[in-house]
Amino acid sequence: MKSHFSRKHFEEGDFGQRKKDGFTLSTEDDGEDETDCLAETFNCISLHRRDPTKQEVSLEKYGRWRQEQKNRAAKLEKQLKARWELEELIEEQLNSFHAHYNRSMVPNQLKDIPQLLMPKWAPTYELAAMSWLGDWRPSAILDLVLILVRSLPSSLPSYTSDSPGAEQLLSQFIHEIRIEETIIDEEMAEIQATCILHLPFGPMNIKPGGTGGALACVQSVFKNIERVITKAQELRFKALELVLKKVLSHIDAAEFLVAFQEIQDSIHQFAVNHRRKRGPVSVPFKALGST
Amino acid sequence: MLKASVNGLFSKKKTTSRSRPFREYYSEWFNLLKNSLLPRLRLSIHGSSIAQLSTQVDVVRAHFHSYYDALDLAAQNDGVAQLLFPDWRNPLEKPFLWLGDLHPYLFTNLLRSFLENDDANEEDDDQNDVVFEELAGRVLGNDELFNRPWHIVMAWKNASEAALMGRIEQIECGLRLMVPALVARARKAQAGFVEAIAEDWAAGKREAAEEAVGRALTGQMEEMVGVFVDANRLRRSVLAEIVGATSVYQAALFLEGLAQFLVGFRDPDLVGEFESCKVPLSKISRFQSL
Repeated sequence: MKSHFSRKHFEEGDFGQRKKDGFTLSTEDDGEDETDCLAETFNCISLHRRDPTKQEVSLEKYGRWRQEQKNRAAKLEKQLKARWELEELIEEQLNSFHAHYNRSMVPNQLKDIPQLLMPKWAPTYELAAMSWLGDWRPSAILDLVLILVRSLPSSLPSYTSDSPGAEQLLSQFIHEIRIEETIIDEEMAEIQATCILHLPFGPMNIKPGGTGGALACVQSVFKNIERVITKAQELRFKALELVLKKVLSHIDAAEFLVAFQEIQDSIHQFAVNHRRKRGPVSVPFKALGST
Repeated sequence: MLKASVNGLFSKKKTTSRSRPFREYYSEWFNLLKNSLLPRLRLSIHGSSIAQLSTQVDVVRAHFHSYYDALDLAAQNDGVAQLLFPDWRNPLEKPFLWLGDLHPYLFTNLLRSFLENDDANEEDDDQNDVVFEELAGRVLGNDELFNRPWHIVMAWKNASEAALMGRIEQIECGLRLMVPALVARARKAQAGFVEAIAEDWAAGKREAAEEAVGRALTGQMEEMVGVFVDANRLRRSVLAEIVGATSVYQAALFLEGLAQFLVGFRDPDLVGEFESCKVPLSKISRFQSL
């Protein structure tokens, strides 16, 4: 606001200066009355000026004004376009999250399941820090947004305008997403707790005749895990969709996406460095006690 | 990996007690269970000496306890993240790990399965002998083990069955409180971590992001160590309570089943088939619970 304000003053001063230099058209010898009259007319069409006695009408002035208007309109149009572009970028990002979580990162074969749950591309520190069934915990994504909404108002006016509403909405979504997380957690725990009854090497379930029958049995148990993973991925996407579509304005959504990316990167980088420095986990020799 | 293991084995920490990679420890622990303790337990189950069987039950129980002790020790030595996501477990095992190891309900479910299987068979009173033999065969999963001593076949048929069921229910009642509490603690630790990072980011410390991550993670990992150690305590105590509540024959069959289950997870043929299986999951039907 400050810069706009000072530029306006400069332009008006400029206008006054030109008049003194004599860059005017035809009205120089007109009587005072006529000048006043013209000045009044100009006031009527709302030209901004401080001192009506200094008003001059000139083609150049009008041309300049038109040019300014054009420039301003062009700038506005550019900003509008940028806004549309921003909206498109956010939409694209959302689509890519959808493709990622609901198509690319769903298990197709048996071996995909352990890979998605304990991905090799993520160091264990990163997984321990934030992973839930192999990727971002949906409620943690919302926790992150809540902190950003709470913390950023001083630097981002757009957050302030809506922050009480956004906070309330977010808290409600966090509550709901946590319930869904718990349901999925329980489904997974049920599979983990009963696998001894269903896997082919559980004492009640040993399959005769080679591993052929055994593999079929493993497949059907893993099919249940696939369902859990798919639900977890859907929930992750749902959390992101809620944030980007229902909670944040486009500007804030863009801010969040940048923060999300950078935070993810710094966690990953830290975990990679930590793994390099830390080496494999060890245990004292005396620990093997029962021999 | 081998290089890393060797480095770990002869690590620079000469001042402290000698240590080795957990992967190596686990492999040794597992081989001891598979090649020595399980066969010895089975021999004792076949044998006539209850004292010897009792000793073997103690040895296997202690073997499991020592494993949980080792997990705790390693976790407290800045290793909890690796223990929660152990890369020494094979792809068949990984999905079934809950906070780094077996779900504590798995132990009570195994115990229940012995009792319930027995009840199911009891309904067929006409063919008792056949049923018992079949029960023993299924329990042991091995034809050679059909000829088990009568007291083993009858292990789940004694008068204290109701009392044992009551005991299982007590254990499960405790689990119903403690399991969700542990899950909630892990979730809170993660939320706390994300919040701390987000606060730093919002406060404009983007340049020092990695430093901030380090700080926030230290706090979170301390809590995760607590959660992990408590999960191990739970597993250890459920095992101890089951062994304490059952007869020596029942405990022997329970521990045999558990050990056999762990061995089965690492059956190289099955793991090989699992890894090379190309059948799309979409063509497989779901497992319907019993």
